Amino acid sequence: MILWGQTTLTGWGRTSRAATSAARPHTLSAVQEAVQNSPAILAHGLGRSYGDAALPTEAARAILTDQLDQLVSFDPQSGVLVAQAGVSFKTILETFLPRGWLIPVAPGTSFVTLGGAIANNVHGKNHPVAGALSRHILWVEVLTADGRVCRFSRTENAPAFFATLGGIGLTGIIVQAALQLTPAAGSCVAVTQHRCKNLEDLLAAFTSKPERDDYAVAWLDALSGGAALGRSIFERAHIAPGNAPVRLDGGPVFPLDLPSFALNPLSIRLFNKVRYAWVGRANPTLSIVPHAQFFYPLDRIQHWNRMYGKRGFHQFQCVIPDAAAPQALPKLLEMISQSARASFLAVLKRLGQEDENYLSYAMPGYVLALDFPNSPGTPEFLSTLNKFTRDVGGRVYLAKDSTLTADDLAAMYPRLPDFKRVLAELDPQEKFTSRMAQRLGLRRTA
Amino acid sequence: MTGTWIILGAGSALAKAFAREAAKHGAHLILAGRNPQELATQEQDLRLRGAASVTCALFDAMNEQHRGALVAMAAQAKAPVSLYWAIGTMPEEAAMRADAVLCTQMVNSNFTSAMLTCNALLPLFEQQKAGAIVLLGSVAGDRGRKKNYQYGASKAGLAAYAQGLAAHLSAFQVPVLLVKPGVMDTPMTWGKKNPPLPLGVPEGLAKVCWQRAARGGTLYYPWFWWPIMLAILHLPRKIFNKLNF
Ligand SMILES: Cc1cc2nc3c(=O)[nH]c(=O)nc-3n(C[C@H](O)[C@H](O)[C@H](O)COP(=O)(O)OP(=O)(O)OC[C@H]3O[C@@H](n4cnc5c(N)ncnc54)[C@H](O)[C@@H]3O)c2cc1C
Ligand SMILES: NC(=O)c1ccc[n+]([C@@H]2O[C@H](COP(=O)([O-])OP(=O)(O)OC[C@H]3O[C@@H](n4cnc5c(N)ncnc54)[C@H](OP(=O)(O)O)[C@@H]3O)[C@@H](O)[C@H]2O)c1
Repeated sequence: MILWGQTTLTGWGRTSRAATSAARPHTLSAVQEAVQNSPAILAHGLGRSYGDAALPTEAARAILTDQLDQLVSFDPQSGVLVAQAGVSFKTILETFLPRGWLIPVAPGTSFVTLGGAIANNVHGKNHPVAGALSRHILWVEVLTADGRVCRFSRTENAPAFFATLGGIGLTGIIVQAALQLTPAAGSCVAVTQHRCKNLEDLLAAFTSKPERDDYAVAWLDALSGGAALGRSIFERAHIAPGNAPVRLDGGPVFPLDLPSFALNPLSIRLFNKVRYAWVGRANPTLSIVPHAQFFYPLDRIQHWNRMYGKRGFHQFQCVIPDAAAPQALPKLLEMISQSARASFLAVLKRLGQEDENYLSYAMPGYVLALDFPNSPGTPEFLSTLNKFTRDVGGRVYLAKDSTLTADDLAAMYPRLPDFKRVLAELDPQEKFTSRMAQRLGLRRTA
Repeated sequence: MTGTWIILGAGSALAKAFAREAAKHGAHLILAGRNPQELATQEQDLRLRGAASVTCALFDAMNEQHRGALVAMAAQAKAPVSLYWAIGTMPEEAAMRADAVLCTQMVNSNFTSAMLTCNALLPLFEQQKAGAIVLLGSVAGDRGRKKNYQYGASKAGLAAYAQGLAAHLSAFQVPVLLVKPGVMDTPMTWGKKNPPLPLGVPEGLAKVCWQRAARGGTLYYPWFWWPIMLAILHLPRKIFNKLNF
């Protein structure tokens, strides 16, 4: 018998919440029972998507997947790991990195489930060399609307495979998957850091070709405009030998909701200044740091999203294609800096070739990601940024999104019709549905 | 404290987390429970997480044969042997008042069986002069409350037994840890109306148990249940009896 509990789910940005009835199954048979007994349902992983991708609709229920967390098999010859969908990246890294195996693609937090990461087809700071997660997934097993568990791969129902990867949970419940791990030289990271005075400096840093450039990212002060537009700290990194303990335990817990005035343009400006001054070097400096320090700096404070107070925050993340970038990036940054809507974390990184999945977010270009405290006018401002992105041929990332429209989606994601066609075949009754899917016209709203 | 850990009630959420913690440290594991088929699905997971070996054993709380078989198994296991006890049930209080069988089952699985199993393993512990015993009690055993005093009574019995066992085994260098979880984030509490306090996380408890096992004593988890229970323990009877909790 399955237990349904009442709970309130939110995205990581905590701007929208869904009071829903949710099951938290341990076994595949319990997942099957839950899906069978629910006319509408959605998988919810660790809720690290910022917007409404993981929020069930009013009429739908949720399956919390965090208890489906068994490692199923690992082949030390090939490095192929089979794991249930609720296994977290944290678990995979803690278990396999000390043995010399790494997840080839890492988002900015290790508190994501394998299933959630597949459903958003996540990417890391090494997309140009490694692609998105999809490139390293050999197969997925999905509980589909007809109640069966089907294996999808590049050779077994490939359309369903490419719809499930990056398919925001709409093809069914991923129950397990095979992930190709990659050999790692060690559990340390060699990071080279330097300051960039402005955007021109920064783009030059991104396009320079060092010997090894597996990972590259820049932390940007999004408030400075004019001559200092694009002032940033640029980091390049690769995995390095060394045996730093792999500790991804969430550290202290951010204890309370800060009042909404705590993060104001002044405090954020100060933060950015201090951070910039901290890396007081214009010349590249090399340091060797433990794995988590480079990859998951934010995981050190659990629930850091409470810092933005009860009203929550949005994250805007877009990719601007290379051809448009020289003109579009300064314009975009100027719009943001002039809006003074205070953004703490502005990150710039690169994407490479488009991935195989239908709703691939990637295209060769620059990714800009920043947080906006949710104040009056913020959603409207985000719509302006969406439109700008769309007009220059870019894309907005669904894992972060809460403001795109169905039209935006169609304009940004050219293979959307293929995705819809496969969805219609797999789930004609629209059993799997989310708030995002309704908003984006992928599901009926009734 | 590696060697072998016998996990009783291995299907429990708290036990599962502890078995994973022990696996991470390379322990040998014996998973004992009512449903070995289901436990077998944990086997490979625990091996992949680092367990030196994993064996499953059929164990129903009041079955003497199972207990005997377990003792024999323990004698063969890689020394030192340690024990983690997580068996327990928490039926509705009203249902237990009306149903003597249900009430007896609860006492047997929460208390009697723990006592009989430890008694049966006592010679082994006395002889190996190593290992540790971890018993899952509950804050409910600290003071019998209207809402769950039958369950609480079984846990209070377990607590008294743990104290005496610890005293007995202190001469043999075997620590006994009595764990008193508050409300934990497990299927036992999922979807129920819980007090407005942060739920304890099984992985967190497992880590603390692993570190504390060698020291023994009593452990409240999460920590804030200690002052809460202290306050409840000292509430004047007149007020206490009026409270509906
Ligand atoms: C601090 C931070 C940094 C981040 N950095 C990056 C980054 O660098 N790159 C990047 O790509 N992303 C990044 N993200 C986003 C994050 O990686 C994704 O949102 C990821 O999908 C979250 O996984 P989750 O387990 O929390 O899934 P959820 O957010 O709970 O769910 C995400 C989607 O997956 C679906 N889903 C979940 N489980 C299943 C399942 N078993 N079967 C089918 N569908 C399922 C849900 O329905 C939903 O549509 C970041 C997020 C945070 C909070
Ligand atoms: N969860 C909490 O908030 C909380 C708080 C305080 C104390 N505790 C105590 O912590 C322990 C574990 O709790 P939990 O939350 O992990 O509960 P749980 O998941 O319900 O686990 C209880 C375990 O006991 C087993 N069991 C019950 N009766 C048995 C019997 N007759 N013979 C053999 N096994 C039997 C069950 O086996 P099956 O798997 O076969 O059903 C199950 O594995 C319990 O002693 C509980 O009282 C829990």
